Amino acid sequence: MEKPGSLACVGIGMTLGAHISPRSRSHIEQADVVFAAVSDPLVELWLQQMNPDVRSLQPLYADGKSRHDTYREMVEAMLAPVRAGKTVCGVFYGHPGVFAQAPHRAVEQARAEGFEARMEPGISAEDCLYADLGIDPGTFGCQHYEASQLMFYQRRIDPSAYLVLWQVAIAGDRSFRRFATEPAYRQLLVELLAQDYPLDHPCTVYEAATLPIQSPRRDVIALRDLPATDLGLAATLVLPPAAPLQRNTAMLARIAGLEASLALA
Amino acid sequence: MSNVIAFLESLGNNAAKSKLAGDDYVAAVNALDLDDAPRQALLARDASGLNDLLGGRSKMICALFPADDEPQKEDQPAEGDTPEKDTPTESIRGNGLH
Repeated sequence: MEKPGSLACVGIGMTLGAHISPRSRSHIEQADVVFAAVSDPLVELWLQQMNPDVRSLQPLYADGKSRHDTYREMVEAMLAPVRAGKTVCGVFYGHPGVFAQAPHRAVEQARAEGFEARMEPGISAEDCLYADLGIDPGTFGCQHYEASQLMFYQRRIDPSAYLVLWQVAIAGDRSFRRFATEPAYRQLLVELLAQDYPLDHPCTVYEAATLPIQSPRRDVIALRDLPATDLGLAATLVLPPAAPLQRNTAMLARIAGLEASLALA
Repeated sequence: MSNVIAFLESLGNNAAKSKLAGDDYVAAVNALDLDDAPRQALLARDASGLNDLLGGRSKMICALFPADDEPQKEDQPAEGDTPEKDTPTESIRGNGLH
């Protein structure tokens, strides 16, 4: 009887050599076929040394092609050998389940078709951000939004917490066919954010290091300067709180009342 | 090629090597069995130059998430579509558990 196919979507972390987990590495080494969506060409070369059959998912991207199609094709690329009985590993930069659609959908589809499928977490850009910028999300709370999604939908921003915006280089792109948007799109984002933040609010443009010979990008800019700032797809915008935490006196009073009633019981 | 990648991997996964700087970094690179070009690229911490020498991909796209499920063709509501129909009356489970 032929062995059933299986799928593991694993995270390789952000920095070559530094972040890969033992189990993710084992999935890569033991797979019949490895598909790769990583963040640096040297990381792709590193991956090729772990398995003789590494297939890059990069050719599925193309200028003018909808990323919706790209992500669907990524899922299909990974599932085809699973259906043929192969042990398949999808390798994604960072964490395969954080701001990454295809790994979630591939795992879901594989399971729906009766195959074993799992996701192995990785060290994401978010994790690196906390370490590199010295931010603890517990201190004031931390909101994360995909930048375009923040623009497309009515959201309630809390300026007393950190705000982290992902994929800010393509903010406002409704076509899903571009890998950069013009400064005018980011100006609209600035105007949206200016409802809650002053225009001189210091923001950090952050990029995790993908190689151990690099340093992370940590450029502090004024919010108003975002449109003119050079941004790559890996850039993340971090806004620190612009307002102090406000005590919820009504809730604190209710808690005090509860404590008093429990003490009497 | 494998020497360069192995060196980068060791810089990534070895705490002591990850801190190499100045003369110590130069000595570590010079100790590798490398041609001059990759040696110079490593000494300059020139990722692009290294990539060219090793034959890596010239362009990498790092975008794995769409902001929306499908592109918005237009902003006009469909026939029979009212705001009330968009108001959720039940808890939204979302995309959990894959």
